[in-house]
Amino acid sequence: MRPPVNKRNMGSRIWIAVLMSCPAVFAQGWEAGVAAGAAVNPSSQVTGPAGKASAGLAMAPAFGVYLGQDVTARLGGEIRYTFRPGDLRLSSGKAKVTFGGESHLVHYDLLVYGAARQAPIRTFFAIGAGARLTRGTGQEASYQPLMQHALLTRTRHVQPVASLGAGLKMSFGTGRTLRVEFRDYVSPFPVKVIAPAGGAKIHGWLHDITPLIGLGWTF
Amino acid sequence: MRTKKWLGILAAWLGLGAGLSAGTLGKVVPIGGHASDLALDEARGVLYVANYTANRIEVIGLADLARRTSMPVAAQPGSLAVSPDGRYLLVTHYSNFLPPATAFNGLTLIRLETGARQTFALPSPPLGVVFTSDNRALVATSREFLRYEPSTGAMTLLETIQELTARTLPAPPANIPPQIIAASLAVSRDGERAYGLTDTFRFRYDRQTQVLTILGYISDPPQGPRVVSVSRDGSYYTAGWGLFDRRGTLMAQFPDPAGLLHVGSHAIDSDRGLVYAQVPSEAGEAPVLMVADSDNLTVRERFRLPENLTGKSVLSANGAHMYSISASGIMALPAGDWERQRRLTVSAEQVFFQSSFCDRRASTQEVFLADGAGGQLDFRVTGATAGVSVSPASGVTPAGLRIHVSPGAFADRNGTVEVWLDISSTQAANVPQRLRVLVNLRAPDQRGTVIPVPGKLVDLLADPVRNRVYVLRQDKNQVLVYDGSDYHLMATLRTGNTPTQMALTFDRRHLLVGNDNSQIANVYDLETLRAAEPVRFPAGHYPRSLAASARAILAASRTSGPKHTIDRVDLFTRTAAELPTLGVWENDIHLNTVLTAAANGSSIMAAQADGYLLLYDATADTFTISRRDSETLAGAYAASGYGWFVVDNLLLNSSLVPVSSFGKTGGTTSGFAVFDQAGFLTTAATAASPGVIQRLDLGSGSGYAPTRMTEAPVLGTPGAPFTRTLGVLASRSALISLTTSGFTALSWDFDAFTVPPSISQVVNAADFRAPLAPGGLMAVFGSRLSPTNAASSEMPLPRALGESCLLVNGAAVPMLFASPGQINAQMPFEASGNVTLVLYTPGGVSGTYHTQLSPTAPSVFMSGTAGPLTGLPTVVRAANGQLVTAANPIRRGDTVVAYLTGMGRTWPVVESGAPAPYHPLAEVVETPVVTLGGFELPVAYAGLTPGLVGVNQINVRVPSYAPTGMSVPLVIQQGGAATSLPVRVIE
Repeated sequence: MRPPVNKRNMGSRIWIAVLMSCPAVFAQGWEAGVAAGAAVNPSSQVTGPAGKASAGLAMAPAFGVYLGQDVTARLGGEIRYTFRPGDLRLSSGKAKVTFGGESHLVHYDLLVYGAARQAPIRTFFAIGAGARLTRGTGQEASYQPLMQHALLTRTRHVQPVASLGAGLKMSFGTGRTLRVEFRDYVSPFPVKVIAPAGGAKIHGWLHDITPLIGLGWTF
Repeated sequence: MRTKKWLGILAAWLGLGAGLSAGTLGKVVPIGGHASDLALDEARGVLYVANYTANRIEVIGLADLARRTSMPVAAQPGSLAVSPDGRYLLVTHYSNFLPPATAFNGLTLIRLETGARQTFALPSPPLGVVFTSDNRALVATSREFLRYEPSTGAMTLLETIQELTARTLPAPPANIPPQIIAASLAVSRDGERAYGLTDTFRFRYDRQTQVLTILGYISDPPQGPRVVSVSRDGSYYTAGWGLFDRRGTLMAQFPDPAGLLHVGSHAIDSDRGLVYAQVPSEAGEAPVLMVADSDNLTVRERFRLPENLTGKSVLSANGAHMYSISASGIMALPAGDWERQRRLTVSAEQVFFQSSFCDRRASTQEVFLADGAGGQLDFRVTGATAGVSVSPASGVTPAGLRIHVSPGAFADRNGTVEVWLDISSTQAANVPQRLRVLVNLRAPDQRGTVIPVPGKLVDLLADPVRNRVYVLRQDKNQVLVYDGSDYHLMATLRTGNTPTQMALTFDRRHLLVGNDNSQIANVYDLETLRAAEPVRFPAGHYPRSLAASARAILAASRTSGPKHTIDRVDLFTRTAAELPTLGVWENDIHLNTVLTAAANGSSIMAAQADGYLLLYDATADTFTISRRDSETLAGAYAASGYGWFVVDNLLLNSSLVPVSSFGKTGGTTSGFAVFDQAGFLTTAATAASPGVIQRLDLGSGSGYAPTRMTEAPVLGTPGAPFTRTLGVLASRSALISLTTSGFTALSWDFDAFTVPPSISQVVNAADFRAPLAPGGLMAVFGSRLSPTNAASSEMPLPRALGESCLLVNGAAVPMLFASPGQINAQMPFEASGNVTLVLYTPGGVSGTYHTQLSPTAPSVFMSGTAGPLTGLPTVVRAANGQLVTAANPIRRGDTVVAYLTGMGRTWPVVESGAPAPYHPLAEVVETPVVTLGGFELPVAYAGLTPGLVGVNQINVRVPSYAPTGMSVPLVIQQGGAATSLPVRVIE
């Protein structure tokens, strides 16, 4: 019997594909920056024989870097990486359990500006796609509270992610920009990391609503 | 020349230290005459010995034990003493010849510094002399006590006494000085008190007050040996065969003394709390030196002597050496170093084997033989009988002596067989103790748990307010106090010599102990478990039995006079006095009389071996009943608080009239315990038979539910026909009976569990399903499987547990756990095919249960727990050592260990009940196949888990291509059997 294909390298393959398809790679008027903020994940519902529970990621800070370029006066693009160190969480009634976790997101967004490139303040809308890696980092034990609903697991799950957002870019000084924005990272629920127990099901998508403040440099 | 001399001295002392003569202790120095007295002059390194018949003082060097010189003196030097300042040696002359021979009774004073001598005549024969701390001598003659001042020669009369019978010379042949000179004197090391012993009185002289106190006595046998030894401060002394306190109370005596005046000796070592003594017993024996405790003469060790001691002994200042007059002259003994002499020691007093009806396999226990000197001694063991063997039966110490018992040799006997092993050595100087081997053989219907206690146990008393039991150990003069909850030894209390019976005071605060060889009753505070001031009895009275009513404490005393008496104890003054009469009757009781008090303190019954009974009424404060309804009485005795009394198997009413008799169930009565209106009686045919205990209704006098005990209760002897061997714990949780091997605890409902057990199901102990295999652990379910819960961690596993045992094909199997509803045990590796199971319990024997074994039946233990989760399969991830669950899933690359049972035979073979070895590992003969989601996993190990019994383990590695999922089947296949578990597997 032939062993099945090892899927461990699927994440890196997706990352390369996204990178290769990025128009900004070939564009002019670059901007690079860092961003920080917080990520909030509305819980998803778990239903099963044991009843209902809520599962998701705990609120946590988010950090990111980006590299982008304005392609035209009102259209730009950027590639972003965001790190989101948030525990996996599960709750039912007053019972609550958490498990160490973190997420890594890589995506490419198209930015549509409300003002030309020279304007000191530019609003923008962003839409894009990429990949999300969700990892459980806690210590496994034979017994986990609420394990009748779902199992918080020390493993990882790579999934596609859609990025939707809007923000404001302000120029100040020479070649520096400050941006305020929010993103909603939408992906399927990471059921390998937060695995529904036997007979249970986790409903809905994973939304990570992430307000950020960024500082960029143009060159 | 000088070197040779020192080598000689060294050799001599090495010889002395080692006991010199093979198999005896001590070095004999002949003097060519009969020694009558000796005195130690350590400042000059010499010993002065009065050679009575050769008319000289022998001067013996202490270093080499060689005679340095002889000092001719006047005729018949009878005693001598050295002054504390070392200037004078005073010698008395007992030359009490009848005419026509010339008599000379006098003194010789030798000035040791110059050798000058002076001789004085005395009006009457001098019996002895000692120096007190003021360097003045006390001289005792047959008519007076004199004080002699050596520096001036002044002689003053201290006291005139009624003339002692001074034997005249010539004496009959073979009479030696202790038989001729009718007194012996000794002084305390501080020189403040002198004591003396004559044929008719003992005396004490106090130097400070200069008061002479004379205590007359009558003694049978005579108070021999005619030797007095005094403690360092004079607070106690030994005279003849007795140990006396300063007031003259006989605190203890050597049992059964022969009373020979001319054989034996003793010396007190106050620093070590010991008395070194040869006091021949009436039974006669080769010369033996006893090392005894100085408070109650408990013998610690016995050494063989090369010849008899025949007079005074003195100890060196450091107590290391003892010099004694002996048959040949003098004997030097390394007394203070007795523990390091060549003595054969045995590590245990008794060895107890218990063979249940389940397990009649042979068993072995080991005791250790050693040389007290740390060297090698030959030994030989005799006395082994059929069923009891020893290995090696002879050899050289240090050695382990393995005692091997084959219960099968005792056939169908039940009870305890007693075998005495004699251990001897031709090289050891001591008399080695005998080793008592007890083999208890028990049938299913025998009740009680034996707690082995060595020694001669003669009385038992359960404390009615404290959950304790007091056991009297006669051979070591001890009260053993045991906790009633777990039977651990709480305290050991020292008694007088040969304790016979205990009693509680009416307020339950004190324990009293009577002694057969002490004229005291010991008193102990039961709150502190410490000895209090004892009760002193009149001279010649030995309190053998005591009882306390609400009004009086009475003692039945053996006396040295013509009649034995009942004495009344005054606990406040700690004295006792003989009652003038017993009400209207004479105070003359049988030697073997026991007293027992009613629990409410209303009365005391006295039962006598000649059939007489007496009743003391506490209200009337006198004896109100005396009667005799039988020629003899013996056995159990008791009194209740409801006006009932029991002697032997007779139930007596409050007038001591027999109203009924209990059945003895074919034996002799031993113990009777009263419990409200009911009672318990123990009986036994012999000490080796199983005893019987039955409940009794005192109202009707009927007994019921006779139940066999694990072993026989202690039975009476001709010398002690009455026995009290049964007690009820204050918690009423158990009955305690003195029995052959120690004591036996019987549960309160010892006769309740009489319904046989019933087996309903036998499954493996892992997942509790039917498949069973050889060597696997099984769970037996049913009813009445065991009277109690019991578990064992003993290795190898016992073949009987909690009074239950399980037989597979007729052989007892190793057991781990027993409870009324379930038993866990190991199926023997030897079993196969269709097997039968039978369970034995105290309630009886179950019906035969048939079951079929498979060669292999792997079953994973479903005994894992995690948090609130139970019943988890015991499959463990090696990575974190935790059970595999959905929350701790198997990962690719993991090593997983499954624990199970029923994997059948192994190589190497492991004995059933024995833990699996660590090296080499015992691997299963039939290798299992393990799959995960259909993919075969490589098996790294499959075999027994080292250190455990009947537990297998399989170690497998999960490959990187193993399928994942929430419920992947993990299947273990072995032979034709398989077991499957769903497990979660992740990447």
